[in-house]
Amino acid sequence: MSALTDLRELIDRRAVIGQFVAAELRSGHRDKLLGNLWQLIDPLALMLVYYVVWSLVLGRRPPDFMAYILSGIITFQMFQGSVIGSSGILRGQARLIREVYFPKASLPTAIAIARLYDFIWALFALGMVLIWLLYKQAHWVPGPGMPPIKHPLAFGWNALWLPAAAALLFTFSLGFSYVFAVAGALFRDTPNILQFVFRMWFYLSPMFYYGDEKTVLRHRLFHLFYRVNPFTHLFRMVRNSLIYDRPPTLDGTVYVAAVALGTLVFGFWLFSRCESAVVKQL
Amino acid sequence: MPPNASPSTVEPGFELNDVWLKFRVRYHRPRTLRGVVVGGALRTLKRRIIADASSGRPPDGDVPFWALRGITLSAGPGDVIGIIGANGAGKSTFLQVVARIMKPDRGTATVRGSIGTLLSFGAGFNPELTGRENVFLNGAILGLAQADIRERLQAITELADIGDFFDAPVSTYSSGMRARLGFSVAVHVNPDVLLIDEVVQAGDAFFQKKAGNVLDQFRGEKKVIAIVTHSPLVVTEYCTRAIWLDHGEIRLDGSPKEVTSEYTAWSDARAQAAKAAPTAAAP
Repeated sequence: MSALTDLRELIDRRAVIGQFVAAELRSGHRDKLLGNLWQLIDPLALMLVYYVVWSLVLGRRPPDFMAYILSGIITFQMFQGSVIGSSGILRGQARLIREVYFPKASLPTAIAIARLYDFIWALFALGMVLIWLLYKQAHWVPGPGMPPIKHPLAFGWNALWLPAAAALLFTFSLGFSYVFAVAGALFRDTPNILQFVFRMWFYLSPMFYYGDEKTVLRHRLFHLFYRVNPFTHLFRMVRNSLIYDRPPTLDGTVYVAAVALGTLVFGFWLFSRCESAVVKQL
Repeated sequence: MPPNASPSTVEPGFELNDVWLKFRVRYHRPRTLRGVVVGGALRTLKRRIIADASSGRPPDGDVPFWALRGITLSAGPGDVIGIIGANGAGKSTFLQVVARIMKPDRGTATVRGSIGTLLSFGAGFNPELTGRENVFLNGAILGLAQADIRERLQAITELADIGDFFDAPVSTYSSGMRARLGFSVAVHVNPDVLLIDEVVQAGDAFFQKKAGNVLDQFRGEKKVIAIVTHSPLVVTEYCTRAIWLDHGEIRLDGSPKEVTSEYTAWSDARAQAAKAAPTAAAP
């Protein structure tokens, strides 16, 4: 019941969220003249790192390989950035929290929105890379012993599914951010644990399992995780719409939507329940 | 003064009814997630093996500390309440409960009208943002619309009196500048209930004069003010009523003159005793 009151208050005071988002983006100097350029350069630089590393490790690969990896990375980054940012936000704003009353949930909400904003810019950056990769694909000659292109890159109307994928990603990230905003305020070792969890989760998600994903995961336990991991389906949604021009699958979308909504409801409920304990502990 | 932020139809005021509030004091290491998970598993295991002989100590080494113990108080329009008491008497916690920042563990706290708080010298400002950006951020947190803030910007800068620093990051401010800006924003929200913690004393004599004028004006407008202070002078000069808090309880509630003189006498007696104690032990 009180979670509903808190939710109504959060919506009433959405101007506060807007100000926190602005502050979050501003403190990264992102509203400056070069700021928007940085929005593109940041993800491009990240992609360059992975491109260099993976072409060193694996040698020459078909063009869709890069697009496959990069789309996964920026998707996971949105989630990770939001949760890690939220885990420190209540501690970081402790003085403000002790000074005035406002809906505390606006803090993690603002972090998630700021990371969503970053994600949208990263998608633009990926779009630029995609143009180059499409060009490369058109002139692709497979080397000796290299498989032909299995999933050709394509860009088309199915890109219109991206907002839906982004909405589900945001919903899931927001719910998780509420949970870890509370955990981060109550427990001092949350960042250490999160770092471990996220590294594990990152590598267990189909980020690099290019090709036949299921045969890469030989162990039964990994296979189970592969199936329940929301990122398996979120990645597929993002990739299908942006780089393969395919519609999303129904069962995957329904599953992710259920998990995302469940996480959000649970996260907000937990946050609202722990709020007053958190304020006392700060 | 700027137009009212929220033209209230109710008479401003607040009521605390038998308010109790406790903190958990930890004498040991901070709580960790690992500790909770591993420790929780260990404890259940231990409980299964040996019937947990209660040691009289709460688990985790937490000791409850009651910061407020049965506070009952009501304030109405035109009240300027000075709150005095020794360190740790619960004065700041009292303001935080009225401001809804903390929820009482027992009892109820209700406030009528909009609340403005100035509890820690503008410490809530984001140091990376400029004064101007912080005014917009704080204004929104205190419940003002963007347009309202823009309208009051001139008046806010005038009262804060920080000149060109207004467009510099708050991290470059002196503590006095920060406090003045914080006071200025809190006052221009034009709250029905204004809660102040030790801030009027920050800043120079000139600022104190201006701050005093604002308080007088608020009193004239039948608003409610509560000030936590260590200065008997502030209480007798600005307040219409005084409360002496001691160990989370109201020890005395009355006229400023009466309460401050009682409190001063009590403090003097304590100081005398403290002075006498070491000399008594010496010979």
